[in-house]
Amino acid sequence: MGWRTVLCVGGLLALLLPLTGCFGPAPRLDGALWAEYTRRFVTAEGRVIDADSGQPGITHTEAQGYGLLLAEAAGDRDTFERLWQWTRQTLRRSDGLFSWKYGVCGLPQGCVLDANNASDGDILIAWALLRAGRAWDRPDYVEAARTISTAVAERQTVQIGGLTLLLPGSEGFVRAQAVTVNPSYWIFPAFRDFAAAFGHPAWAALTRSSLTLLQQARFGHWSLPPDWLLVENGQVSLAPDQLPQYGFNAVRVPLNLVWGGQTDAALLAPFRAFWSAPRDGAVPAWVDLRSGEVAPYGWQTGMAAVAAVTEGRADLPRPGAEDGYYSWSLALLARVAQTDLAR
Amino acid sequence: MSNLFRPCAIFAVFLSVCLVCIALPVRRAAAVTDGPESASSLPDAVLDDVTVRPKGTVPLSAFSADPGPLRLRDEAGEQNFFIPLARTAVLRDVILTLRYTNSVSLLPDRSVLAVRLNEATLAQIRLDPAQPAGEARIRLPAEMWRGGFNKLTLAVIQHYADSCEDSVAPELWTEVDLSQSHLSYDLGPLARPVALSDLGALFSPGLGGQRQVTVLTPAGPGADGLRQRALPYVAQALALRRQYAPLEVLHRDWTAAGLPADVPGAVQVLVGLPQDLAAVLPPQALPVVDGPQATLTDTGGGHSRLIVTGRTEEEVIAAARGLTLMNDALTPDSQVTFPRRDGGGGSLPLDGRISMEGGKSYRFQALGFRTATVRGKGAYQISVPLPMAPDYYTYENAKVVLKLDFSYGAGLGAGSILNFRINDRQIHGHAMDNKNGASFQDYLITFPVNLLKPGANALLIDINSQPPVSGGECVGSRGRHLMVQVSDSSVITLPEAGKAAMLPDLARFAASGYPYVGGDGRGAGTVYLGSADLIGPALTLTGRMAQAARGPVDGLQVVVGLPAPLSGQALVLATTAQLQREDFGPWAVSLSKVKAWPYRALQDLRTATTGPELSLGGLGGLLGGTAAKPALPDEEWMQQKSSLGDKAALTAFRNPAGQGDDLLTVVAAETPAVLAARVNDLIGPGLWGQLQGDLAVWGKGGQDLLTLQVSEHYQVGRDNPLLLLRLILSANPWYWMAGAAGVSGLFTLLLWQMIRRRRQNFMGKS
Repeated sequence: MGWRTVLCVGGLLALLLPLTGCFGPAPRLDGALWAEYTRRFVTAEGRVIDADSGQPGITHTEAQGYGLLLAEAAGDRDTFERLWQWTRQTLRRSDGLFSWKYGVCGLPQGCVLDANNASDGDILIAWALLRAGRAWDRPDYVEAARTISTAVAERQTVQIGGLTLLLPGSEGFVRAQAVTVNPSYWIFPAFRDFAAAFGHPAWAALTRSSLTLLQQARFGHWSLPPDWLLVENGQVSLAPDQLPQYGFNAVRVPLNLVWGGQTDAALLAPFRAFWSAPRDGAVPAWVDLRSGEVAPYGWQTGMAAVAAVTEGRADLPRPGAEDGYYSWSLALLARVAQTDLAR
Repeated sequence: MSNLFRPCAIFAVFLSVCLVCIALPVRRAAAVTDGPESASSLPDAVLDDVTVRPKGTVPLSAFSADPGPLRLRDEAGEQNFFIPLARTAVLRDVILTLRYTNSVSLLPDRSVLAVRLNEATLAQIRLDPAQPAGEARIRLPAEMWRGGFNKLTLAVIQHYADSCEDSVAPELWTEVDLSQSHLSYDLGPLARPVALSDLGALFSPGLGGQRQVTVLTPAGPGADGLRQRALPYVAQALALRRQYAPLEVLHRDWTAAGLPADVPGAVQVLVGLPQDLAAVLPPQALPVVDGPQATLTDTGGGHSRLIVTGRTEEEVIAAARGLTLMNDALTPDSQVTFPRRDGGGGSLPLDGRISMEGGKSYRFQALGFRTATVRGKGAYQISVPLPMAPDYYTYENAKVVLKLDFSYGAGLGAGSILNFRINDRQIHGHAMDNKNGASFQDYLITFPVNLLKPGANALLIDINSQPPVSGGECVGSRGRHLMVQVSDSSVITLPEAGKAAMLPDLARFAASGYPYVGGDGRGAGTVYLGSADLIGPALTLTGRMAQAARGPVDGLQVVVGLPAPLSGQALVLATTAQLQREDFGPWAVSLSKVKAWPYRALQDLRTATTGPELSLGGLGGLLGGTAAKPALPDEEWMQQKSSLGDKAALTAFRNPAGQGDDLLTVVAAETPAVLAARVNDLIGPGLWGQLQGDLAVWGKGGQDLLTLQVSEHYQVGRDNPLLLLRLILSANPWYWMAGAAGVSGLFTLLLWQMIRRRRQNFMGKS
C-alpha cells in the first residue's frame, strides 16, 4: 500500500468522522415500527393516546413514559422533545411528579382528570430522560431525570420493618399498616440505572425488597404474582379491592426482571410454566389467582413478545393492525429490551 | 522646694483633678447582670410519675412560690393554688389533708376555713379557739377536676367580735402549714387510645405527667449517628413539654434479643430505622414509614410507646427535630410524618422564645402578657414576663423605660398602693389615693438596665387594695367594688445594646443555656461524654438547656468519647477517672483523680461534708502555668488525691485547647451512676436556679451546694467592637485608671518641661 492510498483512506475517514458524530448511536428500534407507532398513537402536540382504555383521547404517564423510552431507542430526538415538553408542561406537579391521567373534559384542550400520580409512569419518564441524556449528551435531561427519580425515592417509597415498598401513587395505597403495591411497577432496569447514576439508597433497597416480595407473592395454580398485592404485617396477600388476577399489569413483571438482569430461574419459572402449559388455543390474557378462571380470549402480540424476550428467543412477534396501544407498546419495549440485553 | 519634689507635687495635684474628672463620666459598662433571685413564680413541683394505678401524695408547698406557712389574715382572706393536671391523667380520687392553726381569739360560730375547687365550695372547717390546731381531710371529687390548671382556694372568714370589729385586727389570723398539708391522689390509666395530641399531656408538669422517660436505640456503631444527633432533639422535645419541670432521661440500647424488659417509666421512646425496629417489634407494631415520622401507640396497662423513625438516618434525625416543633394540639393522629421541605435544615423558628433586643420597644402583649384585672380587697400580684437575650449588653447606667397603662376604680381607701418590682428589686411605688379612681396612659417609670438578667425576668406589680375606713371602726366596707387593671398595651423600651457577655458564668448558663445556646436557637458546641453510659445524663442536661432557652436548641450533638485535643466550645460529662489525662492538666479546676481545688473551695467543702471523701492526705504541689489564669493567686490552689464521694462538680472556664472565646464546661462525679443522680439533682429548680460563678459542687439531693468564681472572666462578643471594648474596660476599671495615670504623667512631664524652660529663659534673661 503506497503512501497515496494511506492518504486517501485517511482523507475519507476524516470526511466521514463528522458525519458519524452527527448521527450519534445507532437506533435500537426498527424505524418502520416506530414510525407506525407514532402514526397511530402519538399526537402532534406530544401526547401518547391510550386507544385501548375505552375513553377517547386518554393519555397517562405510563404511555408518555413508553413513548419517551421508544423515541430514545429509535433515535427520534424531535418526537422525544415534543413528548417531554408536553409532559413537563401539562402533567408535572409541584412535587416533581406527574398527574397520571389526562383526557377530554369541558375544555377544548383537555385537562388533568386525576391529579394523583402513578409511580410507574414517573419512573418510566425519568428513566427515558436519563437514557436520552446520556445518549444525546443532554445534561438537562439527566438533571430532569435526577429530579424526578429523587422525588419518587423520597415521596413514593415507604418502609415497613426491613421492607422498602414502592407506592403506586401518592394517595390511596396506605391504609393503617396495609400497603397496596403493584409488582409490575417495579422496573428493575430503571432502579439499577438510577442507583448507578444518582446514588440514592432507596433504589437498591427497593430492588432487594421487591425481589423478596416477588418470591413470596405466588398465588394460584401457577404461583404467579398478582396485578395488585397487599403487604400487611409482614405478610403478602391478594389486594382485596382489586381483581385477583395475573393479567395486563403483572405480565410486565417478567420483562422488568429480565431487562433488569434478574434472571434467577426460580423467579422466572412460574411465568415460563404458565406460558408453556399445554392448552387449546393461545395463552389466556389473564388468570384469576383465586378461582383459576382464565380469560376467554388469548394474549396479545405484546404479551407474546414479553414471553419471547423472557425465553431468550431471537424472533419477537411483530405487532400489527389488530393490536392496540398496549400491545404495541409491550411489543416494542420487548424489542428494545432485547437489544439492550444483546449489548 | 527641690527640683524633684516640684514635678511630683504638680503631678499629684493634676492626677487628683484628673481622677475627679474621670471618675464622674466613667460609666462602668455591664452586661445584663443577675438579679438576686429568680423571677419565676412557677411552683417547684416535684410530682410522681404516673404508672399503672399510681397513688401518691404531693405537699401543697409544691404549688406555692413561698415555701413557708400560709398565713391568712384579716376578716376575710384567701389564697389560690393552681394545680396542674395532665389531660391524659384519669383521676380516681383526690383527698386534701389540711394542717392548720388558728388564732385563739376567733369566734367559733363565725369563723370558718373554706375549701373551694374551681370556684365551688367543697368544705367549711369551723375554726375553734378551743382547738386552735387541727387537721382536716376533704375529698375533692374527681369529676370536678379538669385537664390543665385547677384552682384550689383556701379562704377564711374570721371574726373576734360580733360587732364593731376591726376588720384588720392582728387577732384575725389562721395559718396553714403547706409542707404538712398535702394532696393524696389515685390515678388510673387512660381509657382511650393515645394520640400525638396527648404527648404534651403525657409529659405535663402537673399531676399524672411523666418525670422520667427511657429512650432506646439499636445497639452497635450503626446507630452512633442517631445517638449523636437524634437523641438530643428527642430529649429536648420531651423536656420542653415538661415546661419548667425537670425531666430525667434514661438511655438504653436494644439488641436482637429484644427490648430491655426493665425499662422504667410509663412512656418509652424508640429511635431507629424501620429495619432496626423490625428486630424488636412484632409486625403489627411496625409503622409504615414514608419519611421522617413519629408514632405514639398504647402498649397496654397504661403504658405508651413513642417511635421516632425514618427511612434513612437523616430522616430519623429530621423526625426527632420535627418533634421539637410539633404542635400537639394540631396533631390528633397517632402518627405524623414531617415532609422534608426543599432546602430544609434551616434555623428553627423562634416562636415561644422572644428575647427583647436593644433599642426596641415591646408591647406587653407581644411578650405574652394579657390585660389583668384584680377585684376585691387584699394583696395581689401581677407578673409581666420580660425575656432577655443571654448576651444582651449595654452600659450600666443605661435606663429601661416603662410606659404603663393602668387604672383603678373608685372607692379605694387609705393604704391602697401599687409597687413595681423588677426581679424583686423595688423600682417604683404609687399610692392609689384618688377616691374617684384614675386611669393612666404612658405612666413613665425608668429603671437601670442592670436590674435585668439574662433569660427570664419579670416585672412584678404588687397590688394592695383596701376599702376606705369611714365613720369609725364599726362602719366598714367589704371592698368587693375595688378594682385594679393593668393593660397589655403598656410598653417597655430597652436602651441600645450590643451582643456581648462575660464568661464563664454558670448563672447565665442556667438562665439561658448560653453560650451553648445562641440567641438564634442554634447550638454552639458539642456535648462530649467520657463513656456511653453517660448518654442519659447528657440528654437530661440537654433537655434542661432547652427549657432554659425556652425552645429547642438546633444542632446540639452528643458525642461519646473525649477527643484529644478537646478543643472548641464543649460541655463534658465524665467521671474523674476519665478526666485523668495529660492534656486536661491546664484546666483551671482539675477534676481528675488528682484534683486541683481553689483553697477556698476546700475550706467550704470541708465545712460542708461530713464524710471522709475529701480527706486532704495527698496534698501535692501547687498548680502553675495554667493557660486559663485562675482568679485566685497560685498559692490558693491545692492539689489533692481524693474522690468526689457522692458529690458532683460543675465548672466552666476558657478552653485552653480552644480558639478564641471557646468555653469548656465540665460536669464530673466519681461514677456514671453518681453522675446521673447528681445531674438529676442539678436540673431541679432548687439547684439550677442557684448556679452562679464558675464552679459548683453539690451533693445528694442538691444538698451542700457550693458555688465560687475561681477563674478570670473573659469577654465574648459577636459584633460592635466599640461596645465590646467598653465592656472590657468596664470589667477592668483599672485599665481606665492606668490609662488616665499614664496620660496624666505625660502631661505633667510636659508641663514640668515647659515651666523649666520658662524658668531657664527667665533666669538667662535676668
